[in-house]
Amino acid sequence: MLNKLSNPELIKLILPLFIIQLGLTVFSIYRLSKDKVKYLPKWAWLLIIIFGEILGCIIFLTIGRERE
Amino acid sequence: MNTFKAYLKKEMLESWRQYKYLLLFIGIILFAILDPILLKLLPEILKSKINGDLASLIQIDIKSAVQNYIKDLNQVTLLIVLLTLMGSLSDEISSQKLIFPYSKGANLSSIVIAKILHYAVTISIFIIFGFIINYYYAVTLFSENIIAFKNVLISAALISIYYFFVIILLMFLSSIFKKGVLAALLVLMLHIISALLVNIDKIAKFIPYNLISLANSFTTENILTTIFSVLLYCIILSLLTIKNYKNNTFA
Repeated sequence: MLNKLSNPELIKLILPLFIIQLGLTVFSIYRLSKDKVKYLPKWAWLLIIIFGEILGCIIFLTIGRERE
Repeated sequence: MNTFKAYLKKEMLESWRQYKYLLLFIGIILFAILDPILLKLLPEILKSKINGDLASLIQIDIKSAVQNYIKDLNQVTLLIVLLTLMGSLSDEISSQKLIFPYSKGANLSSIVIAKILHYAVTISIFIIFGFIINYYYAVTLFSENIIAFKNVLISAALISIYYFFVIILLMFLSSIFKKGVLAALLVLMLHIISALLVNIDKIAKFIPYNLISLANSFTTENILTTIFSVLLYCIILSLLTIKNYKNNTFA
């Protein structure tokens, strides 16, 4: 698999994806702890953020938060 | 001009505070990275799941990796963009936030133009950036069927123009219905209908979705007719949005 690439090259390619995923999940959980939420309880949004991966985070940040 | 500058700053500040930049960036850039990696892994995933040599039938090259990104840009990314921007005009109309600035002499046309231009420029920058990243990944991971970088940039420009049209359409529908969700759903419906209409050869070059077809095929046939048609629709829709905005703000 991906045999033309060495391991460091492979890590360099996949690393940005990993950083985006992890960063967005941590940020969404942080916002969940600080903001008021709507439509669903906080525990349900937490499950959506964790198991919905990037799309779950985007849905929470767009429609899940009560705007100031 | 003062109203335009003030509202441009206001939009930038609001987008920053409501994480709209972050969401648009991720919605556009994520698939630029994800698509080529998934396509590279696809034959191996198929091999492990399905018996037989099905994986060898799938030939993925640089061109198909970029085309896959274009496909995602007009499906999942469009949905993310609509979700992010759907409330930006309708909220102001429905909550009547503009009565005070208008009484102080703010120009409503400048407010609408500032909103449209701000999001159009932001999305265009992200799309061009996304195409550059996607091309880099595609060239690194695949070797066959190379396409010129110039063609990729033309595709990025065509998709940016299409998003410009989508933003104006969203603002126009928001100004009519005052409900962001309804406007976003209608834009999605029109997007699907125009994807079907583009198959009719006689009218294809006048339909905005033709920009995506041209970007996907890396051709420039009838490109000017389509671009001028879309720009004309954009001007008409902008004028109608401003008119509706004025009527609805004080309704």
